[in-house]
Amino acid sequence: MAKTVLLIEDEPNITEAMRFILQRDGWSVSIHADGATALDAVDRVRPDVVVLDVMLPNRSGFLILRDIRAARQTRDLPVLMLTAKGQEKDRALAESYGVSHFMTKPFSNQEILARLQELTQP
Amino acid sequence: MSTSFTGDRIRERRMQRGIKQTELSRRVGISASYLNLIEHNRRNIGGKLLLSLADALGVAASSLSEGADEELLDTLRDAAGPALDTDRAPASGGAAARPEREAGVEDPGSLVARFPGWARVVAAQHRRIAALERTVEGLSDRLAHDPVLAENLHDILSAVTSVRSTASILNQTPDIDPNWRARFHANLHEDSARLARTAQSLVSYFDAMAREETGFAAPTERVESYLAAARHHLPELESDGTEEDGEARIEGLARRMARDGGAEELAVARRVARRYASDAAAVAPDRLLQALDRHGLEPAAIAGELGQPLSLILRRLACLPPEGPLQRVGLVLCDGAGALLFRRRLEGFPMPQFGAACPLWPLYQALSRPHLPLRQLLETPGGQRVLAFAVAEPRGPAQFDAPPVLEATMLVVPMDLAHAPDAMGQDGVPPMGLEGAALGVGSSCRTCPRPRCPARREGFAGAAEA
Repeated sequence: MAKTVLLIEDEPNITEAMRFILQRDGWSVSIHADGATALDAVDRVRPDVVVLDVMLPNRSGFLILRDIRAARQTRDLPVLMLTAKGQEKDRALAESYGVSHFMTKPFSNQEILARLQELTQP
Repeated sequence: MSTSFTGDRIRERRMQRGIKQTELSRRVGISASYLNLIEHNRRNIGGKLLLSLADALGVAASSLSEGADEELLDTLRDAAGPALDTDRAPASGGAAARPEREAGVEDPGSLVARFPGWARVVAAQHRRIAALERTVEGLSDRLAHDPVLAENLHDILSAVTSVRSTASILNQTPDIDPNWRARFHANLHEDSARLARTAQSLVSYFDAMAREETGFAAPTERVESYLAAARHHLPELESDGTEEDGEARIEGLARRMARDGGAEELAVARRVARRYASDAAAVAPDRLLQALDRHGLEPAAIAGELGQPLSLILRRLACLPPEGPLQRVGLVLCDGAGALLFRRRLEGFPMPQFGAACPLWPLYQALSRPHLPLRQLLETPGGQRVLAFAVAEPRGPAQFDAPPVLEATMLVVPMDLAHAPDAMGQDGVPPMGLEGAALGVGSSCRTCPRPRCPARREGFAGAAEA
C-alpha cells in the first residue's frame, strides 16, 4: 500500500511539480494550501509524513508544527519543513518545535525524495 | 600641513622659554628672518623643520601642530581606535566592534609632522572606511528587516524552486505524458515571467536604495561643500531690493548646489537657498556690518537693533562677505532631536561627519532653554579656544495644540577673531564671555580624548577598551 504524504504548500507550480515526482515515486499525495485549516487536513488525511512550508497564508508553518507536536495523535508524525528563509534562527526555531527535517528552497527532487524515504522508514 | 596657528605656537613657546629668535633660528639651522616669517604664519612648515623646532623648544611636535589641523588630528585619533583609559576597569562583555588602539599610535601629531602627506592619506581612507561601514550597516539592516526585500526574495526563491523542480522533471522524464509536459512548459513560462518581473522590481528598488544610501555623502554634505567653496557668501541671493527673479535665482543656485545629486540633495539645496535669501532680505550685509561695528561681537545687541531673531543674526554673521571681519567662523544647526542639520566648518573646531556631536556644546544646552541666548568660551582637546553663541528658537509659525518645532543655532568664533578690533565695536570692549573659564568640549564622544568627561556616553570607552 502506498504511503501518504500531505503537502502543505501554497505555491501552485511547486505543488504541481512535487505532486508529479512524489506520485511517480509511488506516494499517495494530498495537497493543502491554507495555513489556517492545515491541522484539519492533517486530522482528515492522517498522512505518513507531512511536507510543510513555512510561509503560508493565514498561519505560519512554525505554529502548525507546534500544534502537530502538541496533539497526542500527531506527536510523532514526521514533518519535513521547507522554507525560503535559510537563516539559522529559522532552523533553530523549527528544531525547537520538533521538526524532523528542515530543507531550504530551492531543493533538488532527488533530495526531497531521499529525505521522505528516510523519514518514513519503519 | 601647517596653518596659521603653528607659527603662533612656536612664538608662544619660544617666548615662554625666554629664547631669542636669533638663538632658536641658529639652533635649527635657519635664518632669523625665516623664523620670523614662520612665527608670523607667513610660511607653512612641516616635516624635519617642525621636529627640529619642537626639539629645540623641548616640546612635542604635536603640541605645535595640534590646533593647526585639528580636524586631521581628530580623524587620525579616530582611525587609531579608542583611547586607552587606564583608570577604568575593563568592562565585561559587550565589547565594541572596533579593535583596541595599537601601541605606538598615541601621538598622531608626530605622524602629521613627519609625513603630512601620508597622514592625509590615512585620514582620507579612514573617512572612506567609516562611510563604507555606514553603508554596509544600513544595507544589512535593510536585508534583515526590509519587508519589500523580504517579499521579493521570497518570490524569487519560490519561482526558482518551481523552475528547478519542473526543469528537472522535464529533463529526467523522457516518457512524460504529453499533458503533463504541456502543463510543466506552461508553468516554466509563468515562473520565468514572474522571475523577470521580480528581478526588475528588485533592480529598481536597489537603484533607489543606492541613490538614497550608497552616496557616501549625506544630502547636506554636497550643499555644505558648495557653500564652503563659495566661502559661505552667495552674492546672487543677497537682496538687491528689487526681489526680481527671486524664485528663479533660488532655483538656479539650488540646482548648482545639488549638482548631480538626486531629489533629496535638490530638496536640501532649495531649503538652504530659500532660507539664505529670506535671511538676506531681512538683513543686508551693509546693515549687519554697521551694527557689528557699533556693538562689536554682541549678536543679541545686533538682533535687538535690527529687530530680528537672534538665530537669524547668527546665521547672517556666518555668511558675511569673505573679505569682512568674520571670515573664519563656524556655524552649526540642529533640530530638537539633536541631529545636525547644517555645518559651516571651522578649522580647529572639528564637527563630526556622522552621528551626534559633543553633548557639552552650547548648541544642545540651548535646546533645553528655548529663546535664552547662551554664550560660552570653549576649548577643544587640541587647545583651540573659541567663543560660541547659541540659541534655540521655534521654527515656523506658532500653532495651537502642537509641540513647538525647535531648531538650535550655534555660531563659533575663533579666539583671535573675537579679540580682534573688528569684534570689539566702537567702544573697543571685547565681547562678553571671553573673560570666563573655558569649557572643555570635543567633537564627538567617538573621537574625544577626555576619558573622564561626565557627558561621555555610557558604553563607549569602557566597552571599547575591554
